[in-house]
Amino acid sequence: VNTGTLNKTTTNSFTISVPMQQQNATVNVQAGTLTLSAGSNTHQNVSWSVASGATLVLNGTHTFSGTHSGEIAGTLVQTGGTVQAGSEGATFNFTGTGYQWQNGTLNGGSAGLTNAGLLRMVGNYGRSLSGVLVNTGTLVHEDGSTYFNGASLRNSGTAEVRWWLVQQHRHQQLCEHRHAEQDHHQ
Amino acid sequence: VNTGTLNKTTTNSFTISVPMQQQNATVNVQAGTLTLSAGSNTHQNVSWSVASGATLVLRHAHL
Repeated sequence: VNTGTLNKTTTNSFTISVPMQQQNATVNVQAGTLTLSAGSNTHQNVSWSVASGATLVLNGTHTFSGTHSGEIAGTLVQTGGTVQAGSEGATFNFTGTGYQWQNGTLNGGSAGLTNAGLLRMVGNYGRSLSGVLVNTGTLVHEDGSTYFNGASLRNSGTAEVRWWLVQQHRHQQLCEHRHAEQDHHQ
Repeated sequence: VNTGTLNKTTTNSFTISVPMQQQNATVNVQAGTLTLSAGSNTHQNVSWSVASGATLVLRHAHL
């Protein structure tokens, strides 16, 4: 349980693979790589910072609630696992290089995960989006595929797409294709 | 659902094959090819721009 400040200070790597519960806490990755990889983590109203050249890796399962903000000069990246909003939703407001969603699942749940800062979909991976993702900030799809698994993306900010595609999960994709084919033949 | 701005910025191709609902939105294809290919899409009061050399492809149903 962290309700205080967690600092990662040296250029070495450090992994926390025990479940974390953070509330009104601060995480500073000043150097090296900090990996949070436990199967169940909760984060409520956390201030995050990652210095230039440093990396914070999210893997495992992370449930966010409240508001999460921070200046990311280095890298904040989800490399796998599931990042999800709690039952009352959550807000990400990361500036600088933003929140990089490389792989794994992003699940906004029914209340929604709101991006008010910069959210980037990076790398040639197949990501899965579930629930409601609300973008009021800047969303950039840089590379790879994002599969919608019953998901809804609500953009009232700026969305930028660069390469590859967003598509339905395979089952929905087939249904979509059949509907399209029916429309085509009518 | 897009009620904001969608920009296609690089020379690569990008395909959106999930249904789009756009309302009072802006779509700017500044470079490359943007393909909207879902089976069902709705667009209401949308401002579209496609820059020289860029392409916007509409496939299937767009209302």
